[in-house]
Amino acid sequence: MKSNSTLPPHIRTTELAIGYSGKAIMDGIDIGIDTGEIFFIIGGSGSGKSTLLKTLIGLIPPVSGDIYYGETEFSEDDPVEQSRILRDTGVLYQGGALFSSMTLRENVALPLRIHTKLSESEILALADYKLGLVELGKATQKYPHEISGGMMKRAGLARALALDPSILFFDEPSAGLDPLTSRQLDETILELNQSLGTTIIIVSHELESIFTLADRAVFLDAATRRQMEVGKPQTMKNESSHEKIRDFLNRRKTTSNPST
Amino acid sequence: MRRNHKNSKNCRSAIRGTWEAEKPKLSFSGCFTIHDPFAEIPEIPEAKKGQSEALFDGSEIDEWDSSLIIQLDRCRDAFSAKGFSTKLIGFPGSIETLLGRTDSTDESTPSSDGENFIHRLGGHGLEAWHGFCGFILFLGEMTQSVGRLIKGKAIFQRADLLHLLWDSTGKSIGIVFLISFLTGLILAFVGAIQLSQFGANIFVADLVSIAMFREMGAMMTGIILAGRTGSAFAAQIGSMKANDELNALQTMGISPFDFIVLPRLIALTLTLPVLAFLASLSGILGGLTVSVGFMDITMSQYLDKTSTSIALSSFLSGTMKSFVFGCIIALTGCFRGMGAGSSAESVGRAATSAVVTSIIWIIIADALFAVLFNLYGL
Repeated sequence: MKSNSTLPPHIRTTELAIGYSGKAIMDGIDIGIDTGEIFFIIGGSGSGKSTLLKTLIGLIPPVSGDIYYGETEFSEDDPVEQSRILRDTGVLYQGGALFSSMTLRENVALPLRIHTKLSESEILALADYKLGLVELGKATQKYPHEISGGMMKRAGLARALALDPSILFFDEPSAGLDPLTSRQLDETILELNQSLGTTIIIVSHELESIFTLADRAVFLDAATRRQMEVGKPQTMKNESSHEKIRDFLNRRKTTSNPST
Repeated sequence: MRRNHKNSKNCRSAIRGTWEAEKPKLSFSGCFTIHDPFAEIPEIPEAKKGQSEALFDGSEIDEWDSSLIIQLDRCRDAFSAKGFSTKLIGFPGSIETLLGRTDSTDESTPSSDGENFIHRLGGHGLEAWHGFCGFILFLGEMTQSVGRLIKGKAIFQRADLLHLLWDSTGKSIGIVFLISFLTGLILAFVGAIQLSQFGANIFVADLVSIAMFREMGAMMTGIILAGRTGSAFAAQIGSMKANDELNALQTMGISPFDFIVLPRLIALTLTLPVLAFLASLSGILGGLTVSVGFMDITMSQYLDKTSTSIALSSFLSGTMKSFVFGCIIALTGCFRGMGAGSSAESVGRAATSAVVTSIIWIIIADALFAVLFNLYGL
């Protein structure tokens, strides 16, 4: 399911400033992510991509500005609402962030045990199904240390999918994966988006993934500490008014003033 | 297609069967989400003559998520057991794709479930044997490392050593002082009850000073540092191993034993005797407090008796013990850290087992010392 402009944005930020300990590293972020859209957060190293992601999921409070999920404000002032929104959100961390003392099946079953009232056999059936979705159906009894990095990411994705979230966040999904595994993961992401209509937000600088998956992307610029442009990556690559973005997406070395 | 869980509170799921028509039909209605209980699958009659296909009708489904896939899969299995093929009508378009992913799960149970008592016992035995062999290898490497230190060829950072010295003395001194003071206090009270029966109150000074210098000073310091520093060594080295830092040292041509273990061994073997001596003094202070406060002994009497009771042999035996305890704590902490796996859990386990193993060996070593000193009349 691709972006649908008739619906209100699934996630929206207004004049958002992000950073640590009240000190902004990036401000003026105004983005609206549509329901069912695959949206990339891109930019050079140290531009605050991961910080923006962590702010959107409430791990870091915003320095200023607001975040809305649908019509609801996402703010730590309302922890009940925040936790309700987060239950409808799945996050895949860089290394998978699996619990090492649990098998893959137990990892995926954990959120179901806590947040649903289903019986044990139903929970296990759902957990196995989620692992099957990421092609780990044969490894449900394995522990995280027994599987490869790519499998850990997929298992992390299965856990993120456990509660059938309507929004999925990915932090550098391709990092540390070989091109084939990375492509496989991209295909899984696309399939999830198309079959379940999940809104997907990805932090990445993997150009191939950006061009294959992204409906739109926001480019964050470390030099000006502001968002530079939001748009379709292919259009930005060829027609962006910012040379820096064209260089980034064409993998060229920037030679002139970065803010132009 | 996406569901809104907030509005689905009163939405129940139901599966109804109609068997009379040419094609049996199963109608799904309501909400099939993970927040709703699974609907009961109706009893399916045997296929009548001419019946081979069953219809699943999903046109009355209000909300759904992967819960529907599992329930649909179960219904499909139930029907195929009765000899029916199934056809989906009125379901969302992507359901066939999602349903196709239900067959890839491995139903096998974990291999450990099939193990019996003998297997597990054997496993633990082998593990213990490998642990013992590993420790012998570790000691061998360590001896080589000490050899390099003596020859002046060991590579480590002096700043690391200074930091470790400060960490194991400066930061531990408060707790060592407090615990030893209280130990001296307890010894004095226990002694006072017995000795006062014979009018021999003044011998409390002998009891406390000899006990603190020969036994308790070194032992209490050893136990405190095993908990405080030994576990920290195991956790630090375990995390470094998980982060490939030990491999990095190896590939740079630096022995991890020289760089990591040696400074820790030096730090603890130097600081433990000093701390044990201070602990003994603190214990004597505890005894003094009780004697002066509760037993009508003057401070000068107590100190006089203490100074005559401490023989050089008591002081030396305490110092020797604390030196050995220092070696035990440093080696156990480092050995456990180096043997840790890469997961958070195994680093935690390494820290715990460093403390437990150190304390056990401290007590065993103390018992051996007691036997030896007794044999040689020290």
